[in-house]
Amino acid sequence: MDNKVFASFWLRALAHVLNALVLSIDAFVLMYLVVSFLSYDVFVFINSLLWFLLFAIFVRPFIWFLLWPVLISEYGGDVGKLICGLKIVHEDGSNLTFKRAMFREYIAKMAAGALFGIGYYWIFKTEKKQGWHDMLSDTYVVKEKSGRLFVSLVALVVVLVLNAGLAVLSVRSYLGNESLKRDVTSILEEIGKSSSPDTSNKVYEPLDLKPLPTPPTFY
Amino acid sequence: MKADYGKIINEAFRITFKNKWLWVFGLILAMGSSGGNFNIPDAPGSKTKDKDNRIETPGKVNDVYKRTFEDGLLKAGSVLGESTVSLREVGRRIPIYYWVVLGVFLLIAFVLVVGISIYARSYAYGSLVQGVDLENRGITADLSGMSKEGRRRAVEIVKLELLPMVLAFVDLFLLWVPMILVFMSEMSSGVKLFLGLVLLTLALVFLILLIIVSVSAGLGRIAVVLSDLSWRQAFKKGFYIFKKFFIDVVVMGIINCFTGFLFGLASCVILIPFMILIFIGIAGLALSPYAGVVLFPLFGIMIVALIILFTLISAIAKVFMESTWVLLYKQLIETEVPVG
Repeated sequence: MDNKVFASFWLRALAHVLNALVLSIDAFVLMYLVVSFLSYDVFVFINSLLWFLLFAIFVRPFIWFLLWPVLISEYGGDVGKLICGLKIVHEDGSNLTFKRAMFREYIAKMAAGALFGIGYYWIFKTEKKQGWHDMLSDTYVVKEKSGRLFVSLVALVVVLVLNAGLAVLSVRSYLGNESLKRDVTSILEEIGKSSSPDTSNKVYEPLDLKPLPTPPTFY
Repeated sequence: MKADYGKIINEAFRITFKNKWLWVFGLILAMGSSGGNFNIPDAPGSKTKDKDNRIETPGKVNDVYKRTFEDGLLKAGSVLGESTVSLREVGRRIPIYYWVVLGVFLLIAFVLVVGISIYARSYAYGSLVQGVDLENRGITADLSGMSKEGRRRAVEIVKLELLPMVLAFVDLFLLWVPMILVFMSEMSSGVKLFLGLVLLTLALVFLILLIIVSVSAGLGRIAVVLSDLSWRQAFKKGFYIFKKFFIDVVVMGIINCFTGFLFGLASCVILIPFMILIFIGIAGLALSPYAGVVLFPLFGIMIVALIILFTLISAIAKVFMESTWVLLYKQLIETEVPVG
């Protein structure tokens, strides 16, 4: 392990941002659903939303739950790390097993993420740039081209193109959805009226307070 | 009594505050065992009350709230137009297979979350026991070393953790549920009373059994790591120690209950100055709405600080209490040799 170059915190953070970009596809799908169906056909909207929620809450985490450790054990990193030329290796320099990858991703990172991610701060502090999750699972993140850069870049580009496509479709749907446009305008007007009261010259009228009815007795 | 509690507490205190890496495992345990109670208090007039007994107070808060809410809905209806539909209608139109798929996914998610949580807890226990033992022997344990041992022992400890859990489920479904069904049934009161008493006696016997199994499994957890035993051997050893040193174990349990109370008290003491500051802040907000610019970020920082402090206190408490059990176990087995 001595001849390896350990990855810095910022490079690892960049890899994390790239992963977040991949995961952001959910937000775009949700936006598309909202803009396309809300106010237009509420039943279709609610139905789509329920399926989306089912996917977002259960199916998606389940896919990531398996996919991330598979990528780490097979190729040495998730999409972000592969693009940044980083590899997660065992302390003896070998690839992680699926079990160890699972442990690193879900249990060791649970500890590192506690107290608002204090465990990640150790990447700055330690010589071999290990966070708590690395120490707990006996792993290092090193700079090493894995040969999967092209595939990872293609995956990222596909997701970004999908996101862009969904964004364009959302804008088009919004422009074509007269009902939603009318509702949004009305709501914005209502909000505008209530949030900016002209208090400078306003004369408050006394409130017409009526006496409360006598409360019933219980004894 | 064989145990020297003064020595145990002093040593546990020293270990807890000397090696702060142990707190990492305390954190995992604290996160694994924490849980919120989201029950809404049964307020007068709430849905859980019998409708006939509900106290109607016209013109009071309920009514004002109801009127405001209804007015709001009417306004929203006029704004949203065709979007405003009754929830009942929406629910009727959701296909039945959606609920089936939802149920299946909920079940899978539940099993996964519980599984990960039990594994994480067992791993943290194993690592912590190893760390406390090493510190007690004067060897400074590092995070990686403790973690290795924890991972190696996690599966055996999971089996020990599952044992009382399975018993508790059996207890619930074989005794408590039938007891409720008996009382809800149309049987005569004499038969009900008889069956109820029989089931209650069985439930109490089962409860005592559950306590014995839980304590034996708890001591067995330590035996898995320190004596390098399988879960069966460790459980037997835990049971043997519990039986042989019953008073020592019970006293340690009482001491740890009191320690938990002290840690809770410490949390409350910490909370008081924060609460005073929050009240002062609210008063400031009442005087000038612009104070919010300064106060809201401050409140945010205070809440973050409180979360950190409480999590840390909870983690330290876990480490301290686990250390006392490990040290008690070591003291007790020093005098006794039999295994299994």
